[in-house]
Formats: sequence, structure tokens, C-alpha cells
Amino acid sequence: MRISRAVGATIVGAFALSAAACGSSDSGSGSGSGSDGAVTITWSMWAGDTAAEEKLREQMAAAQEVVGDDIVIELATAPWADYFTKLNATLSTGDAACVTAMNGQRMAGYHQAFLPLGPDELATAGIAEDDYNAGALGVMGYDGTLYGLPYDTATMVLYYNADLFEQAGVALPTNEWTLDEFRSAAETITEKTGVKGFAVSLDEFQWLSLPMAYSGLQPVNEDMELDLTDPDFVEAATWYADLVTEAGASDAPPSASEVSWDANQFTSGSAAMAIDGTWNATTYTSGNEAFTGGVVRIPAGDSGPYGVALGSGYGVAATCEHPEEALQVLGALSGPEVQAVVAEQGGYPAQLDSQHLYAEALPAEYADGITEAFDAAFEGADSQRVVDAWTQVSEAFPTEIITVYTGQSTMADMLDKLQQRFGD
Amino acid sequence: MTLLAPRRGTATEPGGAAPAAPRRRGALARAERHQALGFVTPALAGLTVFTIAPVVLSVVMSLHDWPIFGERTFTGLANYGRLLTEDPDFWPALRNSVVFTVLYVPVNIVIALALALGIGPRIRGRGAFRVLFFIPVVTPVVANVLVWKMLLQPQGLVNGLSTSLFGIEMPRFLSDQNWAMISVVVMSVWAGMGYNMLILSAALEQVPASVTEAARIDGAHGLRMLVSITLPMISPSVFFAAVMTVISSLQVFAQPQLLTGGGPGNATLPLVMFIYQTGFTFQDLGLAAAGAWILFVLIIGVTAVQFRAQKRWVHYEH
Repeated sequence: MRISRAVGATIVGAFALSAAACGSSDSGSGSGSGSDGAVTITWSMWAGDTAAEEKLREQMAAAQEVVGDDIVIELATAPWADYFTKLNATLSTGDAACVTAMNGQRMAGYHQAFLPLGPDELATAGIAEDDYNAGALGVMGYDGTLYGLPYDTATMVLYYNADLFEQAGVALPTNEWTLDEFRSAAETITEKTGVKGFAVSLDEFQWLSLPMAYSGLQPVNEDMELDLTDPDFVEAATWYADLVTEAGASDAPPSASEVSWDANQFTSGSAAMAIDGTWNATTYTSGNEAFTGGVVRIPAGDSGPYGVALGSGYGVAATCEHPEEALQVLGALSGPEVQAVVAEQGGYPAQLDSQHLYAEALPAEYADGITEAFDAAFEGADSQRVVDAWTQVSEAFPTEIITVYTGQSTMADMLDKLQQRFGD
Repeated sequence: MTLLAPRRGTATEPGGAAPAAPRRRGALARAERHQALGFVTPALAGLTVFTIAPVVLSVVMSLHDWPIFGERTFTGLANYGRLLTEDPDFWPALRNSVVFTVLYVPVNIVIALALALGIGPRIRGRGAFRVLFFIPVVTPVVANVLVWKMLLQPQGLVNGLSTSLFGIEMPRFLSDQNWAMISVVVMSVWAGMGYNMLILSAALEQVPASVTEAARIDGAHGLRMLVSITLPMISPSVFFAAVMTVISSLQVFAQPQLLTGGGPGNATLPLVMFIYQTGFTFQDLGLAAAGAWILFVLIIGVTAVQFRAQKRWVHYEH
């Protein structure tokens, strides 16, 4: 009995020690103060490879010059596929990076994690709302409140392999293309060259873009409700899956884990066309690939061209201990100096005054094609509607839609299943 | 300290010399106890920080509606109720974990045993073979999965050989509901069999030569020798391999996550991947913690059954 008291005291002591250890992590929160008085602000962003990280380091250097020596910016990266898992883990421990990158589509599910940006915060950041068009800024907002500033603005476009078109004797796509012309070209290329005319996708807007153009509808309706089972949308999505199951114009991805399969098929020359974001325009069409690449806006459906404006940006974590400094870093990363670097690197800047830099940075022989496609794609692009559960819906797409591509279930059943699950 | 403590004890106690000896022993024991606790404390602190505190926290978590951020509310056993009655993926995930275990464990142990027996003492270069079969165990799963993807995808080696040599189109191993789990099991067996092979191989070498010689003189050969002599002699190692393999297979995560993404549908979504998705993709840490506790109970239950059943077939030399 006597020893139990001592053991008890030791256990209590150990618990106290562990509590202290656990508690100490709270003080991190993506910032810190150095011995020289400089505040360190961590900037968390996705980067898939060393080249992408190198681009971010260039942006960081430009931002560092803007904020001066009193603030030290530190970069932390994770690949896109793991970024949100890492973010969730850091958010759950209250340790999110002070300046955290956020994808516009996912803002609805994460807005609570960010500091709302009112006039005072924007003034601290040195950014004005007028620097952007409303659509571009809107992707970083939720329910009328702004939670972040976009660094780029984007939409989905159609990329094509001009060599395969030529080989099949099919006229190159144009910015006036319709979905009928698209399907017919995909089928002809498949038939004449033995290479698939198209690569369907498992990933969010890479697969949703064509069904949206076909139906003129978004998966979230104007009442901001998930509406995957709208008959017109189901018909459009079925048409899309038929490119694999009926027309044979695309292979099915080999596994639900191959989220970037369509992009890989396109860049490896195994598919003549693919849908991807404007952020890849310079990579795919400026002579970097082994083939001649081209870009046009998404082919139009019966109701005309249809696309949505997408984008990503940065926000300040609500738990950040140095919000003032973090806002300054946010302003620097979103401001004209870094926007110029973004444009130089092939990203389409979000700030209106910087957008002309994008075209100026393009190699002259490719500039016209890309600019025309961008103008056509961004013209009238609708702002994207999301629901709180959108992250979950988009994460569920790959494992479900692959069953449709492989003929094990129908698009109607698949969409109905997701609607039942996430519709409320 | 050791010298001072008893001296202080005797000095403060009034009284004669007779009771001093037991008191001194008691004081010494007390002092040693304190010292022992001093030595134990760092380990205990580590255990508390890294094991007890997270375990307690996960129990607390499982009883709350615990989003990644925002307000946490106590909900009692509601998370367990949701998992068992409402969640569309929980039962399929549990089924998948059980199916994986039922397929993986016997195949793994049988092949590992066959390899261990095959690489017997008479085989030249057995060390090299052991290393070869053990390489997949030490290779990162990601690298293993990349190789298996190249083998199993429709444009991969298996289908390529099959169509070019025999004109037979193979099924879509990674995206067909009937084949995806089999593919995960096959890849996992390939990656994991080396470990059990090494354990069983070591056990086979410990079988006393006198026993096998005696059996041989009695006329036991081949299958008879294996079933009646070798297997009973190495049964403790087989038991150990079985227990550890069952536990690891109920915790399977990386192979389906990387090879099939849990799909098609939820055909290869095991319980740990379900817990991971629930917590870190769907942001419901309370529900994930409840799932983890159900998995824990399942593993403890299955292990307890194995320990109970070992009395019937495991032979220890006393």
C-alpha cells in the first residue's frame, strides 16, 4: 500500500509531464520568434516535385523582399494528393501554418480554419478588392465573407496532341468546337491511329467539365444544394462514360488510385485529348512535350459553351499567433511582385493588373494559341458553386466512377449513391 | 544517498538498538524504492506520453462529435451507433478486413513454410535465396506497389504476355470488383512471405537432429515426417507467425491505399483505410476513433481465440 502512493505520485508526475509535452505543441501554430526578434511565418503550399517547389522558392524570395527582414517566411510543402490530409492533421492539433494555401472548391469545408478578411485585414495586407474581378475573389470566399486571396485564376480547357490529329487526318480543334465534333474526332483518331482519342478522368473537374458543358449544369444547383441526380446532368454524365464503354474512344483508368492517369496518358502520347486546368497550358503546349500540343476551350454543348472559374489562394490560419505579420506575408504572396513571378512561371495571375504578364512571358510562337483559348475559356465562365460536403464528394469520385468506366455499375446508379450519401 | 538515508532514519528514531536493524532495512528499502522510481520515471513518462495519453484521448474522442476544427460535443456512444447502424462503408470495410485476413494469413503461412522447407540445409546458396525472398519485406511498400501496378494494369506485363502469347484478354485486376481484392492479397503475400519464411526457417534449424533421426529409423519419411514430426516441433513458431500475421493483416492499409485506392466502389476498402478516410478526409475524428476501438476489440478478440486454440495444436517442450 505504501508503494502505491509513491507509484501514484510518479504516475501523476508522468501525466503532468505528458500534459506539458502535449500542451507545448499548441504554441507552435506555424509561427515563431527568432532570437533576433524576427517573426517566422510558415507558408504551407502543395508541390508535387522539386521543380514545383523551386518555383515556390522563387515566389518566396520575391515575397521576402517585400516583407523585409523583420519577418522570415518559411516554406512547407506536401504533394497535392496528401496536402489536405496533412492540413487536416495540423488543423486537428491547432498547428496549421500561419499562411495556408487553399483550393477554391474546398473553401466551403475549411472556412472556419481561416481568419475572415475584412477591410482592416486587407489594409494590413496592402491588398484592395478592386485588384481582382469579383469571380476570381469569390472562389476564396464563403457565404459572403472573404477568407483568402487568390494567387491564380483558372478554368478547365481541352488539350490536344496535334501530331495524332494530323496522323488521323482530322482537323485540329478550335475554340468554337462542339461536343459532337469532339466525340467524332476522338472516335476517328482511335480508329485510324490505334491510339485512344481521349483519356477520361477520375478527378473532380477533369471529369465534370464535359458533363457540365453537355448539360449546362453544375453538380451543385443554384439553390446551393448537391444535385447529382438532375436528369439532364445524369444524361450528360452517362454520355461522358459512354466514351469508354460504348464509343471505345478512351481506355478506363487501371485503378481508382490513379487520379492523374488522364494527364499521364496525354503527356505520354497514349491519348490524343485530355481535359486539364489552365495551369498546365505552358507545360503542355509550349514545346515541353515530345509532341506538338495545343489548347482550346471546353467544347460547347447544345446550350452553348459552359465552364466554371476555379482558383486557389492563401489564407491566414485562425489559430495563427502572429496574425499581423501573417497578413503582411499574405499580402506579399498575393501582391504584384509575386504575381509577376507567378506569370513568369506559367501561372495565370489572379490580380487584374498582372494578367497581361502571363501572355508576355509566353514564347512568341505559342502565345497566340494560348491567349485565344484562355480568352474563350474565361469569357462567361460561371463561378463555381460548392456545398460544405464538396471535399467529401470529390474524394469519393475516383473509387465510385471507376466502377462506371469498367461497366460494373451505371452512371445513374453511381450518382444516385453519392447523392444519397452526401445530399443532406 | 544510499549511505545517508539509513543514518538519518536511525538518528531520528528514539529507542534502543534492538528495533534499529529492521528499521534500518525498512529505511533502506524505502530509499531504494524512491531511487527505483527515479529510474522508472523517464520510461513511465515516455509510456504515458506516447501510449497511455493517446489511448485515453482516443477513448474520449470516440465519445464526442469531434470535427477537425470547430466545437466538440459529447455524444456518448452515438459514434459507435452510427458506425454499426448507419455508415454505408463501415460494414463493407469490416468485411474487407476479414476477407483479406482469411485469404492472406493461410496463403502467407503455407507459402512461407514451403519456402522454409524448400531452402533446407542441403540447398547450396540457401543464404542467397533467403535474402532474395526477404528483399520484398525490406523494400518500401510504395516501390513494391509501383512494380505490381506495372504488372497488373491492362497495359501491363501480365495482360501483355497473355494477349500476345495466348490471345487471352486478362481481367482488369485492379478495377474489377471480383479481382481487386485478390490482387491486393497476392501482392501482399509476395511482399510479406519473406518474414514468416525467416521465422520458420530458423525454427526448422532448431529441430533436434536426434528427433528426426529417431523418426527416420522408425520409418517416417516425406509427408509423414512433415505432419507428425516437423510441424509439431515448429508449432510454437507457426503459432507466433500466425498471431502476428493475423494482427498485421487486420491492420492492412498501405497496399489497398496505393494499389487500388480502396476501389472499385468499396471493394478493397479495409477498416484501417476507412478509419483514415473518416478522420483525415471526411474530418470526423470522433467517428474514426470509434472505428479504431472496434478494430482494437476485433484484434484482441481474434488473438484471444488464437491463444485459447493453441492448446490443441501447439507443442511446447517442457
